[in-house]
Amino acid sequence: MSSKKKVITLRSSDGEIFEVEEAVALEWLTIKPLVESGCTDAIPLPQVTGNILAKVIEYCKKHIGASESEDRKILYELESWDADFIKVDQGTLFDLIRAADYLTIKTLFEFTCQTVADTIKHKTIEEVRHIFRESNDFTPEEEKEIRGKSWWLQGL
Amino acid sequence: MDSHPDQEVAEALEPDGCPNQDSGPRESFVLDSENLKVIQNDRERPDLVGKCDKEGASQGGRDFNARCSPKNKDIQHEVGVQGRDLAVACSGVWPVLKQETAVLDSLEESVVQLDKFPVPYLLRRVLLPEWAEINGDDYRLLAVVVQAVMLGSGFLRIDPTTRLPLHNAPVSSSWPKEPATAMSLQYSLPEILAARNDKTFQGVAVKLQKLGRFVIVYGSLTPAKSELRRVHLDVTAFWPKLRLLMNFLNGNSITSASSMQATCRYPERVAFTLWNLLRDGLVRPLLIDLSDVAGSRAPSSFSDMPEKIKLNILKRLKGADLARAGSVSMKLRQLSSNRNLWEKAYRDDLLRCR
Repeated sequence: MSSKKKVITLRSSDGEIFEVEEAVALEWLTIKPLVESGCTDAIPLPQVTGNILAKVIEYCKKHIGASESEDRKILYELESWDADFIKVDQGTLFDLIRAADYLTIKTLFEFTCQTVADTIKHKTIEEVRHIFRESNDFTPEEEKEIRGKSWWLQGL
Repeated sequence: MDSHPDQEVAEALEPDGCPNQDSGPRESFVLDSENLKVIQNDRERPDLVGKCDKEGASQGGRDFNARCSPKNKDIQHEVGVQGRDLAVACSGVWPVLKQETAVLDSLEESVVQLDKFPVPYLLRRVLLPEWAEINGDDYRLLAVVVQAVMLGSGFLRIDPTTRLPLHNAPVSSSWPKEPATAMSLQYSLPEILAARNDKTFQGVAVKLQKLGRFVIVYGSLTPAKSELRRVHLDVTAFWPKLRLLMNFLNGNSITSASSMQATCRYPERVAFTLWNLLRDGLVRPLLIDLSDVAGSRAPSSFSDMPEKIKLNILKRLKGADLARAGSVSMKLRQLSSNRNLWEKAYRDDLLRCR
């Protein structure tokens, strides 16, 4: 690109304005064409609120360049940074997933989805139901049948 | 001869009651754990059976075995289609898995020195500043941790009488003078406080109660409108490890790295576990309850994600977790009956066992 530190302006759904370096914005495939076309106006992101967009930008800034690094130390630090970064409530976590999906940020999307998958690892059916906020809509007969047929699950 | 594409794909475990998506011919093998000989019993692919018979006769079982494996040896075991077969197969295979992870763990350990372990947020920002105040009391420690998780989820602590927010006030400022066995903290949400309507005040009360080696953390809405949430914490399970860690972080020499390593392999995990227990078991349910009552937007949750995202999450689960997720609700059952999901879970589980 012509200028090295070109800044892209983004506007969240609640009207907050964010400025990110072009290199960061180019990682977001959804807005990449706009950025490449040299758009100078604030790019509206009607599906992302300000606080989530701030988190997304924080993540991408940290990860740009670092993810490809071969240096074990950097990768290790990045990992522990990630672990801290993702210490958010589930609502925010799912908002992040949605934002990453909307903006097509592959690394963040994979990372957040994996985090959700990890939270329900080794949980009982009841716990998963609670975490996912799903209600038990099986009839008693259906539930009995499921539990009966999945008897081998109990031991795993 | 190229291996058949079908062979590369492990037969998915069919969730009971969902015999759908059964398209095309398929092979099923029986795993003989003794010599890993693959026996093919396929009626729908006479061409293959014939070939295998011929080759098996001329070259012997081992060659047949090798030929049946995909080139890159991705999958060569196929276990039957019933869940109980999986359980049987796994019972033979888990020990291997454990061995391998043990080896991996020890490898990792040699690389990751203890003095470089990632210090979790809970320890670094929450417990370190208040460590002197906690003064070796497991009960106070939990109060500090609960406070941290509550604040991390967006709650604000409020004064129980004036109902004004106590910004950044440490919990230590309000704990009972003498050693107590019960303690109560009040929280609310910023948007509720901003509305400032005293008549319809909504908040949550968190109580810690000590019972022997357990501390039970209760949470309920005030005024009470929902069920009581509670988490039982076994103090003996994490307290010694946390104390060691904190001593270590404080630079006390009483704990040498080696003695710590002897106590537990990844001591910092204790902090993550504790955090997750409180967040998933107490704080998040309270947040949802309170948002429901206060009429604010409930936090996003799995159930309102688009199907694409749900599938992306489910595909990361192991077979057993996937089956459990499928037993949660009708919607999830339908979603998790996807054949591709099961194929992937199955393949991953088997690959791990190799």
